[in-house]
Amino acid sequence: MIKKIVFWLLFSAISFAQNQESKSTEKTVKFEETFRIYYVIPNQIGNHSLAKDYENRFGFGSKLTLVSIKNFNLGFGGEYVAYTITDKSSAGNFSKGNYKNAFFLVNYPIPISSKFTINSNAAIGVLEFTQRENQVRQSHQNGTNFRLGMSTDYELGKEVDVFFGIDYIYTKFKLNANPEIIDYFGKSNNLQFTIGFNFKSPKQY
Amino acid sequence: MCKKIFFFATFALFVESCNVPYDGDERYLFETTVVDSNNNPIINKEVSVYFYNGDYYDNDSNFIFGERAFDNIISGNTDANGTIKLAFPFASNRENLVIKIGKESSGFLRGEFELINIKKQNFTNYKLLEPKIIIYNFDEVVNLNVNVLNSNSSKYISKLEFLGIEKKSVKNFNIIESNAMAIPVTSSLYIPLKNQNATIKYEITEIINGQLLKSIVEEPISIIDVNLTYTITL
Repeated sequence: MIKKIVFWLLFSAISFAQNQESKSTEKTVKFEETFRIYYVIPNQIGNHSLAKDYENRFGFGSKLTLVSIKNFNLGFGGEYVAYTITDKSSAGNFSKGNYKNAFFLVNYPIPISSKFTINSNAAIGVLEFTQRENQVRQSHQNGTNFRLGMSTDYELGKEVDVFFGIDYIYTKFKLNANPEIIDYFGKSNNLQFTIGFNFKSPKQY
Repeated sequence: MCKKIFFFATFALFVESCNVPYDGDERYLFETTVVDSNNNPIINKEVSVYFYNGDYYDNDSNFIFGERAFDNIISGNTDANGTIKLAFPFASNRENLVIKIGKESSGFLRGEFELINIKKQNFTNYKLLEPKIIIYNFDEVVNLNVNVLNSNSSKYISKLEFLGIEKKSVKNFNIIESNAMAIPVTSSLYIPLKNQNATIKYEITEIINGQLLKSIVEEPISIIDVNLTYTITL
């Protein structure tokens, strides 16, 4: 809980910071906002509990980049994915699982044409996975995740793109268990697809 | 505006109570193989894990409270080898668990075999292995009633045991030993396997000049294929 509070205090300080002008004539540091909101289609792969014992229901996420340093955009994001438990004899006598994570991200845009841009990205984050029964939280697990991915952005207008993305997300859950099961319940591999909109701020500071 | 929406929406995802009934940062593993009297695996036998508070079993392994006091965390069925592995988080506010094998036909409360009063310290490296659980059919066993006829007020039977193959239905992992003076045994019921030679072992406590003197007696008994009554006379 303390880590979450510190994370969000730091995040809010950056979000509401005053505009600053870079002193460099080359403007290697730019304050530009881009805001993405998207639908998540997870695809858990491999031999682990999230892949074998759960089925994904829906997910959504958002990303906000605030500063660009030599064309590397830095920002934050958050995602929420809901799962249904399909094998209670393995996952436990619950009905649902929710995967929530917040992450720090960096992306690098590569313009392909006047309309298309490829964005490569990497992120590191913290997560909480909860199991629920009758809408009541029954258990929760913390962890960290790492992701690499890319998206293809198509410009619909000056301030909005539509994009399709793919990310590989490796999750390591905090878990104490017998070595026989620690990999099965302690890790996950997700090849995730996203589709959504990217809102751009035309201002440069 | 978008930033503010993003900030509050994503922050809201993490604003929830941290108190949950089960600790998901730990997983405990239980493994066993269920077989019949001929050591053949019993396939598709249901095994369930329940959490409860306090000692709901007395020292004779009798239920004190009913099913509503138990939380069923996980259930599964034995595989083609009669083996089952169940991995589950431990309850944050419960200290004991019971594992039920099968269901007794007389009612929903009891299993055909139960592992009771299990605590965290019974797990080694987060695993509890019960190598083999034997489930006997009722047509393989008989009832043996052992009665004590005592006309002597200065001595009594303080312990009584059946040494042979029994249809046991309970294994108690944390038996509470009492330091109080043993209550005289007047009768006991056992469910032994038919057609075996076994032993009745009992401890006689005698009060002589205010002192307690104990002696052990072992008597052979032949179990046949009908219900028996065996009488110990002091």
